[in-house]
Parts: sequence; C-alpha cells; structure tokens
Amino acid sequence: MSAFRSLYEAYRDRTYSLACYVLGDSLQAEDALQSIFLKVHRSLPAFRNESSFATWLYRIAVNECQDRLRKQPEAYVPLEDIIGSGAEFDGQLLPDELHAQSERQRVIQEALLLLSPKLRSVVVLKYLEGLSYEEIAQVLECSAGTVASRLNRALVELEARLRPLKGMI
Amino acid sequence: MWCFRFDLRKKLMPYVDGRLDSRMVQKIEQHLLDCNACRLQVKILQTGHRLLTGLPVLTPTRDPWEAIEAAVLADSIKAQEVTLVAGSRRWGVHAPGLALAGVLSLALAVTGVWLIRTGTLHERESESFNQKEILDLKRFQPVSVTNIKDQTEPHIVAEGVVTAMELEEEDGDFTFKLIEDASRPDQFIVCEIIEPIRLKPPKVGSRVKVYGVRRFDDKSNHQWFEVHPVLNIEQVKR
Repeated sequence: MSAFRSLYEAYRDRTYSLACYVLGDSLQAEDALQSIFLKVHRSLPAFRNESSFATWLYRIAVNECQDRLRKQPEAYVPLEDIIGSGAEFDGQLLPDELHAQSERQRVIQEALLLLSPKLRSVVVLKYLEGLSYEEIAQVLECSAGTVASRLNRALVELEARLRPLKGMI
Repeated sequence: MWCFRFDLRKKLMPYVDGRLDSRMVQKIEQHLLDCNACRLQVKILQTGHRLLTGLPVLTPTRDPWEAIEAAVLADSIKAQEVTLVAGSRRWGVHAPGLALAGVLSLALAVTGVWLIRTGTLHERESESFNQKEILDLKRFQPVSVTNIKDQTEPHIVAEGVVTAMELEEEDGDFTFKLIEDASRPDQFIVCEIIEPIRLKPPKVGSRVKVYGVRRFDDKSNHQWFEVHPVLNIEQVKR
C-alpha cells in the first residue's frame, strides 16, 4: 500500500488538475480522483509497460472524466465555483504584480473552461502535463494529426475569446 | 481571405510548437512571406500558445487518500472471497476413477461456498461490513449533527436517525440524511453509500452510527456537511 501511496502522491495534483479542467467542477474532480486511482489500483496488474505510466494513468483519467460528462447535462460553471472567488484574500494586501498574475490566470482558466471537453483535454494534456503529440494521441486513442488539429482549434477559440481583453492579459 | 495550401496550414500548429524539422520550417516561413491568412493564423496560435504556457497545477482542497485507501481495502477483501470460492471449486472431479470422491468433494465445496456466502450475507444483514477490523473504527472522531462543522478530522463517526433515503437509479448509490431528532429536520448530515463500498442501507427511522469521510458540499444549492463515502454503519439499540 505504501508503494501505491507514493504513486498516488506523485500524480495526485496533476491528475486532479486534469479532472478539474476537463470537468469544470472541483467537487466532481475530487470524486473523479478517487475513482481514477481505484481503477489504477485495479488495473495495475494489467499494465504492460507498452506506454509510459503517466500516459496510461492519464488515459484512465480522461476516460473517467468523459464518462462523467456523458452522465451529466451540459452546464456552465462559473470559474469562481472552481478556483474560488478570491474573497478569502479580502483584507490582505497582495502585491500588485501577484494580483495581476492571478487575475490573468483566472481569465485564462475561465476561457479554457468554455472550450468543449474534447479540446480542453488536449490543451490540458499538452500545457499542463507536458505530453508530446504522440503521447496525447496514445491517451486519447487518436492520431497525432488529430491532436495537432484539436490543439489548433483550441488555441484559435481561446484567442478569439480573450481578444476583447487584450491589454488586460 | 483564405489559404488553400491545406498541406501547409495543418503544419502551422506544429510550427508554432517548434516540432518541425528545419526543412519544413524553411518551407513554412517561405510560405508565410506571401500568405496573409497563414501569417494571421500563426499570430493567433502564438498568442494562444503564450497564454497557455504556465497553466497552473491545481491541488484538491481535501486529500481523498483515506477514501481511496478504504476502497482499495474493500477491493482486496472481495478478491480474497473470490479466491476462496475459486479454491473450493478446484476440488472438482479430475478423473473418472475418482468420481465418487469428486462428487463428495464437490458437495463439500459447494456446502463450504454456501456457508462462506451465507456468512458474508449474514454479516451484511447485521449492517456492519467486514472491513471494520481493517478500518480500526476507534480512529474515527465522534461528531454530532450540530458540531460536525467544528471538526477537522477526515475520518468521523456520526450518530443520528435515518431519514430521506434516496436511490440514484443511474449508479445505484444510496443517499440519506442523518438528523439529531425529528423536531429539527433542518439540521442534518447527508450520507452517501457509493461503489465500491456498497453497504446495505439502514432502515428509515432507525438510529445508527455512520462511519466515513467528512466533507463539505459547497455547491450553492447544497452547502451541507456529508459523510462521503460511508465506510461502515452500525445499528444503535436504545
């Protein structure tokens, strides 16, 4: 169990982030995190080293998130519900730069959540997990060309959503 | 304005990402000199690329390791039961000459399996599941419906009366409310029985102790404390 716990601790935040960005709901992401690691534990004997462990884990994570998205009606979740409103910082003076940076991240995350789950998955696997096109293709079980094309669409959509805020970010 | 060099357009993302070899980079850059549409597309992609670089890693507010550990243990128990059953079945007939012994063995095995299964069912009937030895229930912090908000321990045991039992048809999960007494139905803890720790739900109106992981459901229309997942239920006799 201690070996599995080490594995869990090594991948907890990245897996949670993936679930959080794809599902757009922190509570659901916490539930998904439990299911993902339980499935990982159950499937470990079947892991054949045909792909890296991270790729294999992310495939389980993405499938779990997609299953959950299929079961729930599409709903827009305000970003505050996911990353907090920032009200907890009221009364504390934050340096301007830090505030500007966190505001920038908030705006980008909000725009990211407006992408379709399919595009979000590719973006998060690339920019958060740092996977190559080939590794993303393995996780999502598609071709590297499809990955490039989805990334292209995601970046174009993201830029279009953020264009009105040019200067602020 | 549109560019019909589809072969090059689909390479723009890998170009922005720095994934092309020098020959292809040269080809793209040659094309960009003459094509406004692709230049604009590259600029858009570069902006998106820049914005997403450094996307922050998020951390769960509550570490669900305790629940994962409990679920993994529940899995191990199930696996042991299956092994026991499979082991019993190996006592079957292996050769015609041993038919009688085989039949007797099989009968014994079937009886054994039946006894094991009956025992398991019986244990479930007692509304307490066989993980409790492993879970060490003494470690669970006792809480009440009214003071759960003051607790910080993840593992808790809450006592109360069962009300508002619901079955989620989609996944078979059971949800019920635990209240202190019927005169204060607005003060409750929501308890969730979920896979893989599929406990028998307690009877509505019965008084029980519910062991599990404490959490707060902060959805705007919820805002209540939960025991989620429920790890054990004990009937309280008064």
